Amino acid sequence: MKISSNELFETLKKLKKNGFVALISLIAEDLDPNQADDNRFLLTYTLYNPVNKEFREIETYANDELTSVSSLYKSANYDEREIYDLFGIKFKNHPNLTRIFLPKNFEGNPLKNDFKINQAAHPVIQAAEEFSAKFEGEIISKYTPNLGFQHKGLEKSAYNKALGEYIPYAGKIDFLSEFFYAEAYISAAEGIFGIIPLKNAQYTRVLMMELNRISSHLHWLGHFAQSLGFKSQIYQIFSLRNEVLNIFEKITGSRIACNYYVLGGVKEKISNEILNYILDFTKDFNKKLCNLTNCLTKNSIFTDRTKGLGVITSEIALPYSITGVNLRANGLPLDFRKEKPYLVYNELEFSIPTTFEGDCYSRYKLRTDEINISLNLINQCADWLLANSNEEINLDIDLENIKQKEEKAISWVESPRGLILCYLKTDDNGKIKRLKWRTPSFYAVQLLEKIAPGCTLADFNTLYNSLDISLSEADR
Amino acid sequence: MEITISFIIIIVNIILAALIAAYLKNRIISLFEHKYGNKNPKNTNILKPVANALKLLIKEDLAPKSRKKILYFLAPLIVFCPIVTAFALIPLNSGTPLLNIDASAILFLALVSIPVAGAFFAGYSSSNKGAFISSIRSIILTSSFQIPIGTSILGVSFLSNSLAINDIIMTQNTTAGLFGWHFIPQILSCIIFFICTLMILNCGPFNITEGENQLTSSYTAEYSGSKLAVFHLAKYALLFAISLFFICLFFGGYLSPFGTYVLPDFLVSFEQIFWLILKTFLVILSIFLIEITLPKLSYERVLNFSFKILMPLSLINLNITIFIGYFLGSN
Amino acid sequence: MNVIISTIDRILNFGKANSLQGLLFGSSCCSVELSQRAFSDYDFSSYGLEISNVSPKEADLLICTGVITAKMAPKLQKIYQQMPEPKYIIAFGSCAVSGGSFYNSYNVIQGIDKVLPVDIYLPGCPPKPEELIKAVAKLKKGIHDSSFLNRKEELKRHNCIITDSLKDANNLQADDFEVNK
Repeated sequence: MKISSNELFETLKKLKKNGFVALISLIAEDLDPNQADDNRFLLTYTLYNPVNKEFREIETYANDELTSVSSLYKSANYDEREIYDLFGIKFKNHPNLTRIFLPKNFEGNPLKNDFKINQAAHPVIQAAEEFSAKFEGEIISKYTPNLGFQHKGLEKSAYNKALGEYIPYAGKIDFLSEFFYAEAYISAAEGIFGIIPLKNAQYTRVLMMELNRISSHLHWLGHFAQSLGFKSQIYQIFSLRNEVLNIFEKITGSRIACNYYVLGGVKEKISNEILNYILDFTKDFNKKLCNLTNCLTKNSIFTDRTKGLGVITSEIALPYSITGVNLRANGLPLDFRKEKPYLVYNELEFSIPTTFEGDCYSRYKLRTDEINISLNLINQCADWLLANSNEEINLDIDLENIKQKEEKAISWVESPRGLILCYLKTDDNGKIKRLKWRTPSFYAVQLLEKIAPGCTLADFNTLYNSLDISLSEADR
Repeated sequence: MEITISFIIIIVNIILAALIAAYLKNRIISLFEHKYGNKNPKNTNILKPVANALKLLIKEDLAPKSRKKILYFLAPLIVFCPIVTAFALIPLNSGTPLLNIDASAILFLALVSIPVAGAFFAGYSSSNKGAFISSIRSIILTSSFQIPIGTSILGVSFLSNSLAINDIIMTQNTTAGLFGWHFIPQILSCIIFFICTLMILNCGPFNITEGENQLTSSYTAEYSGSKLAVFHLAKYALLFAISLFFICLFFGGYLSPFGTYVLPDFLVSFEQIFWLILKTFLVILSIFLIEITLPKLSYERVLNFSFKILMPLSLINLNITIFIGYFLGSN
Repeated sequence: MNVIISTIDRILNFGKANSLQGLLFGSSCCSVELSQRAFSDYDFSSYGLEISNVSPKEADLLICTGVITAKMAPKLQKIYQQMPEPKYIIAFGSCAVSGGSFYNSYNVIQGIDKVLPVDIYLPGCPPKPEELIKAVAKLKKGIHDSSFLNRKEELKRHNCIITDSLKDANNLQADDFEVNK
């Protein structure tokens, strides 16, 4: 639905009254630098209604100025700062319109298409502040995070690249959940070409993603335990995680920068030996994990410190556009593997656990439950692959003569931290014009700014760790 | 003249014992940490604490410009020196200790509480907010352990009618050996005293001075070089001093658990020192084990625990001891 | 006279080389891989390198992993200046050595040696832990060969700027970073 920039605020206000409470993403795009009239930038707002489970997209054009919607939707605060930083569009009535990723004296807006990267000069360095918190006694009264320390410019590096050239970069956005980002990018690229991978390849992709979910949750668990003072459990949890990374090494050849997905399938078929090894691995894993988590759950110091801390209700979470475990901990079973099923998730059987309190302890419990569900899914996928092991895995694609079917594509993936959205648009020659990532940790940092005041310094560390924020993902 | 030589000998012994304890701690902790060691360790493994100490002494002495100079200089000395004096109060064999004072148990407690002032000065004089918060928390710890530990010492002294450490050990010298020591009639005192030793040492669940604010460490955040070496040494010295005190009060000090001595008469003092060292190492081992397994409390829970649970328990224990003593006819 | 200096050197270098306390800096893929390996498989402390949560005042080896952006570079310099002498740096991973895969980015510094004097370069994406052990062994050999009188001349050989105070670090401009100044 396309509307003009004058009607934007009123339309969104009406939609919010009708139940569209969450602004999932706000995407900006530079259409043509040579245009003189008002249609240089195109903005897309995606809204969600949790009651009817309905999505709606609204598009407007803008040139230099626009009214801000941050009074209606709280998550638009950071989104509009990012657009101001990277594109230069000013928003009226915004509470704090400053740069978010780049240093304060940086000149220019990188994502405009006429910004040239000057390779001979080094970026000018200036002194930066850390993220600052104001205290009264030991209780925090105000907290401002400072993003941008890991901003590598991964969206600009996609400009004018061929679709297959960017695949290794997609895994570098977040080192803990790289299979999810690779899947999001590849699905969008396949949507542009109109390719649907074979069943064998789809089951393999689901298997790798669920293994990655386990390794990401284990990494979180180790750091969560360490922040509370358990000095020795982190070593044993990381030994478990090591076994998962060894499986990655058997299949793809490397532990962290795997690059296993290609257009139309995966690089190599998983052999039957490795599938049997995976099935043996999942049998013992549950027992070993229970030994470690009992050590935490039955400890009264642990439960005393985490229960009742950092409660996130759905009235707070949905305007800040929080998804994933942080939202499910308060009773709303929103999981995008069931809402918008992709790959073969509509054929697999799994349930979505929820809890009702929404504090740090329930988030911890949910993540350990999700590990068990992933084990179940891995068993189902490995059984199917063993039963149908004689089929082909990759399509025969003629990469030089393939034609684009669509101009733009969006893909939705549920990662361990929330919802990933990949928006991909190409031009007539097949080069990328705009690539935008919607990452879940970006919004979790904004939520931290709201719920941190009121807790003591000792509890702040626990709170920060329980939200599972990955700064590399928030900054891209 | 004799006293200076004996103090120098005490300091040299503390340094040796600290090196051995650092090595032991490394080995015990690595058992729990699931590590596979390498198969051909060279000498550097055993000499590692020596290399650590040597490197700390060579390091440059950086100090922040806006510090308070006198307090910054005095803090390591205030932390270390009282503990050296406290070592002189403990009898090593059946002769008298170096300093023979009537109320040596209470004096020991006072000497062990002085290092807290040094910790506060260290955090206050560095112009670092994290260090200041950490030093305030060490004062919280001190205020939590004073009353329970004082009343448990009083409970023991009722059994032996005196406050001097030497007399307390003498009254445990019965032919029943192990069963005549004070930890059986005063079992509640023993447990409360052990919990309070964890508080004094900032160990285990009471480790609130360091590690919470992940980037800044404890009140020694702005110290480097030889002053930091003195802080580390004081930590190990305090560990040994407290465990020696613990076994002197409850476990019979240098007495043998069999009641009689195995070696002939002229070698008895060596055997007494052997029993002393063995018991000390067992206590230190249990402190390390607790440190590696339990998580941390936060400061308000430490205060809750000590004032709502420990203090009433220790006062009840004292009252029970007095009543039982009265009815059994001793004074 | 030389005999005295060389025996003093032997004792001091024994202390410096065998108790390296490492400070991990960076929060990118290489640092996760290094801490994962250090916590589970490889026992670095038996080779003389300890990695744990320390403050810069107690550390003498800065292991700089991962991508360094323009906003992060002043922090890195502040941490380096807070470490007391003698101190050493290892550049771990190809992003720290020369920018790595982000060669055409507007915000990534192409290698740490534009801002710090690096002693050992360790390329790889990520490097294997055996290579880290080899790098530490090379560093130890270098420490044993050095003398405590020559430290200032060693520092002059690096092609970067070492400022004397924090005020100078905050005022660095782009044209200060020419090579062979």
